[in-house]
Amino acid sequence: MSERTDRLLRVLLPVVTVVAFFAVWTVYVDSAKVSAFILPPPLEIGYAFVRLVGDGGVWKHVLVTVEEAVAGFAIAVALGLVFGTLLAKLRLAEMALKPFIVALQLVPKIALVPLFILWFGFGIESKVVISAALAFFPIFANALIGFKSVDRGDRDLFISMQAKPLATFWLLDLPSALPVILTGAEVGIVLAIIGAIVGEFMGGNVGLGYLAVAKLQDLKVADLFAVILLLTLIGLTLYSLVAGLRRWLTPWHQAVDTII
Amino acid sequence: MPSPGSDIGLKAVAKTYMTRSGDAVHAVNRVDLDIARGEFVSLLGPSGCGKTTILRMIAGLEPPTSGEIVMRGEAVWQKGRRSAVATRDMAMMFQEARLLPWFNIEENIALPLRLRGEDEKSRLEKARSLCSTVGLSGFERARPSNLSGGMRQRAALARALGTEPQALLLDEPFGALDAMTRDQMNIELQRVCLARGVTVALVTHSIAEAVFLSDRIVALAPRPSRVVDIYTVPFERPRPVELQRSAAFQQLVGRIRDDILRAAA
Ligand SMILES: Nc1ncnc2c1ncn2[C@@H]1O[C@H](COP(=O)(O)OP(=O)(O)OP(=O)(O)O)[C@@H](O)[C@H]1O
Ligand SMILES: [Mg+2]
Repeated sequence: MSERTDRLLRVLLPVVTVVAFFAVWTVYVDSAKVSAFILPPPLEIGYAFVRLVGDGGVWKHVLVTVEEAVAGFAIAVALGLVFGTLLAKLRLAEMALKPFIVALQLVPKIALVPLFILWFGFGIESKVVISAALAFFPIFANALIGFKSVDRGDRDLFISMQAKPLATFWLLDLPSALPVILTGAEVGIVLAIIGAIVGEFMGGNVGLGYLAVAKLQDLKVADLFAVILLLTLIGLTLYSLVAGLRRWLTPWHQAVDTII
Repeated sequence: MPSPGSDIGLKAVAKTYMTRSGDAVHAVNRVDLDIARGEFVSLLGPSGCGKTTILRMIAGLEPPTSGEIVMRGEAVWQKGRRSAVATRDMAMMFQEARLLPWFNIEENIALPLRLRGEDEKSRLEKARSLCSTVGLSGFERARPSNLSGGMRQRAALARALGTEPQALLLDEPFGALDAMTRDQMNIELQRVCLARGVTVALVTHSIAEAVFLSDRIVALAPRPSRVVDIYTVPFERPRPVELQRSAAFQQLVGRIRDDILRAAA
């Protein structure tokens, strides 16, 4: 296969897959007479989506959900970096804290959502906390692994150049670990969005998670699908931003792109 | 006790590695060596005989199991810890180039200067002039991954020269170079070292290279390494490339080769 056709197919084939997917969907609901309350045809969802984004009311929901996810993600990045660095650098801290943090990770965090709402109320705060709680672990774990797997030979190089600990951190540890940390961040941002939506399911009266529940209660299933589509697009955007950040900050790193 | 003019002194230095499985690997048996100020000494020996280990112990990267290493009167290892004073004016060039992928070539070369707090303008200026010294002009902004193995080694040499060290520890620096470039680099290395009076310990597999560059050549026995022979090279430094074709040069190379072959038999 020539490089041109290869590149063409790379763009074309996914489009074909998507079109085929919707075509099968349309034919199925039509021929099997599936009720539009259960599974509306794609075209109807398309109209609902256009109506949804055309109506200015949706943007306040979008804004709140994005705000919650981004704030939660930012907190997770800060905490993940601090704890990852701490545990990688201080053996005692690792021994004392790592089993505890890993055990915390085993608590099903979604089950904590009612508790967070009890503690932080129905407002944006509880959703930010949920979002941060979900996004923390992959960022923390990758930071820990990243800092711990700095090349021994590179470390020797820095020792032989009489580098001070702080300089070694900025010029060796951080750039070495950055690709791994940012890969963790890619997973983290996706989890942060999930956290925000789940929080909104449970309580409050704003955000796309809330809107989805409201549409369901009104039995507007096509609208519900439209909200899901909008959430998907938001997720895609935020994820692409973080993935782009990784490629921009660590251009030397030849990573296979992660698949979430 | 090392002699007064001594720069680097090794006294009964031995190294035994403990592997994870608990086995002891005797890498260096017992090495006594004195390298005078400004002297160029080569370590010659079969692969795995402990040459890298010896350089690493001198550089303060690997503690000796026993014995003492001194740099200008200051012990390199003090209570099992590396002395910053003793190692301050050393520069080590590793067997692999070890350029950092997040820096371009000039930034890599300027790194030790940066770590010494030199400001950006002056350190990059020095890095560029070092680039031309090792024949890397035009590649200042290149990424290490875009350079050949030999070019990377030359960049690593430039980095080691940047801080104007008093002692250079070179671990097979030109292994990846073709014969022509290798000659050029050897001439350049000889010039820089003589001009600055640098003390050099060089590990090499090439007997000819050792004879061409060194005041003395230390032949090491297979693991665990110990000094089997020390040859004094009689030619005046600096030496022209043509020296390598002279009968006296060839004769010395031949003699060392015969000795090594006999020792291995
Ligand atoms: N960190 C280590 N742990 C255990 N054994 C080691 C370690 N480093 C080196 N050795 C062993 O010590 C011996 C000497 O190794 P060294 O790297 O000093 O050899 P060398 O003379 O530099 O070899 P080459 O010419 O191949 O570079 C080898 O047998 C090696 O297996
Ligand atoms: Mg070696």
